[in-house]
Amino acid sequence: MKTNYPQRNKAGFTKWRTAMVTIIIFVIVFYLLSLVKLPLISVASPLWKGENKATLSLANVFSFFSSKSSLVRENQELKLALQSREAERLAYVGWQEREAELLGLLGRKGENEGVIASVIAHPPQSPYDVLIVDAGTSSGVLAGQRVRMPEGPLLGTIVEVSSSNSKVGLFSSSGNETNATLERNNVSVILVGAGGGMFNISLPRDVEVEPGDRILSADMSASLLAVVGDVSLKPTDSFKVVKAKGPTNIFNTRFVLISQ
Amino acid sequence: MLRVITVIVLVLSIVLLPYWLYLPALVISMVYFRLFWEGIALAFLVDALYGYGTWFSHYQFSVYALIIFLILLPIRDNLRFNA
Repeated sequence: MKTNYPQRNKAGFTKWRTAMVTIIIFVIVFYLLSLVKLPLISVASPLWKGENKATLSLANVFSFFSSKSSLVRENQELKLALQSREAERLAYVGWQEREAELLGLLGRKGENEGVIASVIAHPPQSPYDVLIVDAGTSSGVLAGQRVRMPEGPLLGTIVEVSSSNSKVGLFSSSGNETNATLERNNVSVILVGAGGGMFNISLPRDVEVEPGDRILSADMSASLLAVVGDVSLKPTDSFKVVKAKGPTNIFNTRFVLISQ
Repeated sequence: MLRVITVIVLVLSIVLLPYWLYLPALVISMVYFRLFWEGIALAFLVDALYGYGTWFSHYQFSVYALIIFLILLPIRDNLRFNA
């Protein structure tokens, strides 16, 4: 008697086996590589520093040959300087006096002391809202410390530290929630990071908010976190959708201040 | 040889170029080359250099690369090019 056995699908079986082997290897390699992620940053940092230097040098070379290009560059630098001054102005509106007064009353020290660090990698190199800075534990940097612009506005916190580099997680990272205060009426809000230096806030429709309003950190320092850019409200909605942007352009930040 | 050069170029791109250049290039490489497991390792490099936060948010590109790899596994042979 002849028996017909079903043919085994060898090609399909091989693919399943490859998939399973891949997943197992992924888990093992993933675990091993997660142990060496900080050294990876140390390996990459000379490349980032070299890139920054090369970018500046190339800019100088081209400006020598082209007056139009140099004018464009100068224009960009002036825009950056203006942006920096604007951030500084926004951060300092009544801030210094208020902080000195309050801290004096409470007998506490200010947060102006810290470590200045150079940004060696920033978005759009990073798909996340992350800065890599060239100061690490050897400079006294610790995980959890706050990172701000030298002009005052808060940017984020130190999330990972190696001996010579640190990773800064920006408040604007997608989905990141930060407690804050809307300065206009001292309403507590939750800033939800939207990536690219942008934030979203949801507010009850009765709360008054206008473009240009400042959003401050909820702690005692009340540092500038964001500025309201756009407010949208549909007639049927109970909540306003507020879009805010960070006080500085994270795509060309060059220096940050790391403080307690 | 082309595969090795691609990997080197992608590594340099991840370190030096904007993500909107190297992430599409990574996906295209995974589609173009047969069993491009290096794509998963490169995605891990992206996560190790730039990722942070909870497990998934830290390693999301590695997971996406693994998913793309697994999806491509059965359909890769039916695509009309061969590398």
